[in-house]
Amino acid sequence: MVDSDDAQQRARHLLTLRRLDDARTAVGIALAQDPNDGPSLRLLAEIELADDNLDLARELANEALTALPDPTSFLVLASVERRREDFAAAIHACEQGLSIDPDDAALHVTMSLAWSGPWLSEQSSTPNPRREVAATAASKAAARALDLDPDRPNAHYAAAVAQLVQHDTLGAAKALETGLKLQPEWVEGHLLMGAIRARQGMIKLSSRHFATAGRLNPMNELPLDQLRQMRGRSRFRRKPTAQPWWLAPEARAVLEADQNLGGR
Amino acid sequence: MGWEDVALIVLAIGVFAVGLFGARFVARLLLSERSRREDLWEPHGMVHGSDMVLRIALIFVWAGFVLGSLSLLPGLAWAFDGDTEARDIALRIFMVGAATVGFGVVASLPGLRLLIVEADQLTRAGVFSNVALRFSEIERIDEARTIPALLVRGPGARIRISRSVAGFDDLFNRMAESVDPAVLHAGSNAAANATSGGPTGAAAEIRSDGHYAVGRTRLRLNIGFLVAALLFFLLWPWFVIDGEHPIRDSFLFVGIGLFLWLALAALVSNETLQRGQPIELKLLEASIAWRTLRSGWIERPVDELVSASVEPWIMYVKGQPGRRYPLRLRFLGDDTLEIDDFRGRHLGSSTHLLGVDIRQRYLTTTARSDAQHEESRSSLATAHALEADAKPLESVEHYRAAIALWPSAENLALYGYVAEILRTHGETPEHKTSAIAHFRAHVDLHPSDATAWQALGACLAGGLRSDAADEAIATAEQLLMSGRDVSPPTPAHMREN
Repeated sequence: MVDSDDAQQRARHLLTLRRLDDARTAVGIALAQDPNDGPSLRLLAEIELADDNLDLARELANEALTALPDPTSFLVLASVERRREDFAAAIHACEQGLSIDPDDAALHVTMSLAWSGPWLSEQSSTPNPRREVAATAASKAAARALDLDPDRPNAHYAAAVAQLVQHDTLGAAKALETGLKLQPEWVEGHLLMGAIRARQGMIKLSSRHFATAGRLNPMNELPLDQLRQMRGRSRFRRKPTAQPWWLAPEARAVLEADQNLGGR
Repeated sequence: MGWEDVALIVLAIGVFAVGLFGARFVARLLLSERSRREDLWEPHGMVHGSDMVLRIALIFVWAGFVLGSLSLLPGLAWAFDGDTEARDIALRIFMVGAATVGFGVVASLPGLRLLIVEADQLTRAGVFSNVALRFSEIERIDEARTIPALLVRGPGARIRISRSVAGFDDLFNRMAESVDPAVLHAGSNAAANATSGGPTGAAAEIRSDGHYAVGRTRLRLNIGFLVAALLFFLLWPWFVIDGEHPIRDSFLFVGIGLFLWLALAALVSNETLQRGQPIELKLLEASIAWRTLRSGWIERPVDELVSASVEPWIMYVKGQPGRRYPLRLRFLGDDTLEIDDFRGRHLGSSTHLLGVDIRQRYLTTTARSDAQHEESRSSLATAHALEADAKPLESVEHYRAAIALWPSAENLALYGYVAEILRTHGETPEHKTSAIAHFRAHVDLHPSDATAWQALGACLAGGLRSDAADEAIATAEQLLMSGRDVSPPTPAHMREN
């Protein structure tokens, strides 16, 4: 008979490989031995989250929390809420997790991204007190995560996103550069950097980041879409405007890719 | 309206559409060719090109296509009526159009030229041939007399660098970094222009050749020109009024008068020596002295000089960008002395060469004393304390004082730091302008700092016409793409802080 821990470990590997059906089967073996096992339920919630079954993932995360109310379960719930774009619920889940372990860097990262979430698509740079509050909270949470774990690329990512909320593309680029130095083969980092460089008007450099993201994850169509859209326009126009209007929606789509980064 | 009229209107629209699309097609070909050449040269060094020649040439291409497509009108008459005369006319119009397009294409070839600042040489990559000049072999750098350009001369080679080149300022700074300082000032005719008088005491010894003045010949010419123009404008009614036709006389008086007075205003503003700008500049041992057209000598001690940078700006005439390169000497307390491109030439030099001369003379510690070093340290301590007290904007003036009092390499690295404070905490347009000036001063010293170029681009961005921001961003992009981005080390006193 397969041990519950072995089944969980196998399921996690399969989740990393994105073999989601096999991962479900593996975690099912663990749950057959103990249907209320918190870590197994949490893992199943992560699998459903990866498969975009957000309602089911939320239900499972709540069940996991009932069985085992630890910071990791709160982190999974917060990630699900963030994907569901219920940012207030995500922040609440993070706060609950941090009340148990205030030094959990991953929770600080997720909270920072949740604070930034509602403001990423807002293009207007006119002063808005609510945005200022969100940006400050996001920056603080990212800074705390960096204090706790400076080698965590996600924390640099969250810091970059917080800068983007304040429309400071230079600050975002600087933060993300550090993250990319730590982990050069980082798909989400290259995607966001591509969007930032595009916003700065560096079309060639932006293409390079999207191309790198595409090379690192050939299954992901997003970088290729970006490149396809950029090529036709950048070919005959050497100097784009500071903020190419045709890229703004795509850049926003790339920023939404940050939702994959909440988990450990 | 008969069908002939409708057909004529449709044809006219068609003619212009052909002209427009033809010009667009040629523009695409030329720009993609230049883009390809830029990609080819980018691994060798920083690439600079100019749009101006291409833009002018494309006007001819457009006109040629419009003219050529006008041949459709007689061409159709020939096709439908068999009129051989119409055929000849169509052929002639077509030939003239084709010749104009050909001329435009040939005229655009210099627009494909690129200037590449490599590690040890300057290369001009033309369409058919390349010219390279090693920095160590450059003999003279002159300001061209007739057109706004720099002439770089070496053994058997001469490279003209037009001021319309994108990122001209960056190109000049990179070249100035590698060229012998004596060469930079060899072409200046400052000494020849110099006049006597002014502060010249024992304590204010003029340093070797640091004396720039508007030439007397230039002054006399300007005065003579203006007097002649004024006489003409005052006497012109006598040329047109005959007294017999009062209505015609008053029409001419008002009509021509309006035009002439406007022309006079333009002439006066162009030809008079603008107030506030020096007609004579002396770079003394411990101070900078200058006098303007209607002022006595003004003197500022060199330990009040914070920066001496060319701060380019782009003006737009009918939507087309034109570049201006004023040199601004920024002193403590927000005092600024501006010397624009024209005045730079009147002074027998150029704003870029003057800027380098002033930086090399005064923005080094050799021109300062130990007491000033101590004062600088004290200013730095005050600035750090204010920053620690969450008063970053108040610390700026103290940082500036630290730079002016002791411009060591470490303190000069504060330009970027001050600019960043102003960029992130600035509240007024003046803060933004000041941030731009400090970033300019920083990239003068560290032209390979991509972060500073990006920050400069971010400060300049805004509004519809953002060519200056685009240029700064393009420089940053080239540096990042090629891996030549070099950020200056953080000064020791800032690390401690």
